[in-house]
Amino acid sequence: MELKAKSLKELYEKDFYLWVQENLKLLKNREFELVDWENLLEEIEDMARRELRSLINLMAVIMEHLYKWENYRESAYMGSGWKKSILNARKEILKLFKDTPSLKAKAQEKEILQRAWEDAVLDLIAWFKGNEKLALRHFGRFPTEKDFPQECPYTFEQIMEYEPWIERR
Amino acid sequence: MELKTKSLKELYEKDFYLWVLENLKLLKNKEYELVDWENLLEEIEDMAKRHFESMISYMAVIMERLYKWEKFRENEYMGSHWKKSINTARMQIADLFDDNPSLRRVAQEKESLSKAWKRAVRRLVLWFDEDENKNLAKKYFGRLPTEEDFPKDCPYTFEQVMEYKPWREEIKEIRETQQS
Repeated sequence: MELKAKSLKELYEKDFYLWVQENLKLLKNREFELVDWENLLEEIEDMARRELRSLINLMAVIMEHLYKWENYRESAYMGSGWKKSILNARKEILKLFKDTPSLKAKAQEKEILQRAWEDAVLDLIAWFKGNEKLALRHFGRFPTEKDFPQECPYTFEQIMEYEPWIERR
Repeated sequence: MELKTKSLKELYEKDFYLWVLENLKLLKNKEYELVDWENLLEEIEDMAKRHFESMISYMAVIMERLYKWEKFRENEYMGSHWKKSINTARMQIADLFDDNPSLRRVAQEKESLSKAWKRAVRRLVLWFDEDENKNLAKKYFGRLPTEEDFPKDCPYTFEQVMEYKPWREEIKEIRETQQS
């Protein structure tokens, strides 16, 4: 029994497809003590993590574009694509909340906002890499993480509702 | 207890994230009888199915391109990106087999081959429907082909899917004609 559980654990690295089938068989037969719980629990946890990942990705999109609008919009011709990205990501978040209401509470946690902001900063850095002129104008070089606020500058309400294009009028 | 399991089952539809966390908690506490096994087993099965589905998709890409090369390649200017996508898909399948060696056996099952071929046929039909291929459709079929215009049974073996290189045959043919 000990041996079987050990070899199942090894199978996880060697043959994921077979590992799933073997564990499934054990679970269906209620041979719980033989299941590779260590890896299986991790895999199940990943299902939840993936949901959270989608939420964070969408929040990061919104923050990146809000920040661009507030700080780097140079003319009335800029930003229509940013606005579209913001509105689209908000719509996707609302859909996510509809399917998974518990994520709404999660989205307001400081840690989650911070993770999303850190992603947004990476996106901003990458954006400037493709916009050398703007980078030079604003930073005199390509910006790094240190050129952006360390702490998330947006609240959950702002992420979901702030419309900088309306306030400008 | 009965009630709790039922509400957990409902949670699966209503709040997947919370459903995962609740089941995780039960599993960690070894409260197996409370777990929503019906949905959980399906989710676990899906973990494996995803790999199977990717494999079928890659196989379908290869079959579609092999078939195009064999039957509808009109001149030497055609097909360089077919070759590229065959090579890419073969590489992806090889990666998949590295992590999931047992899939190699599954890939050789008749069922898998015919599933991939069915998808390849669907892609072929759509390909002929593209504007730039309308003339080819007319030439070979006199109209837009349907799924019935292609072999019903998968014309390729697993070995061919993984190794057959029609462009090599051609090189050989060219060499042979040059020599004679």
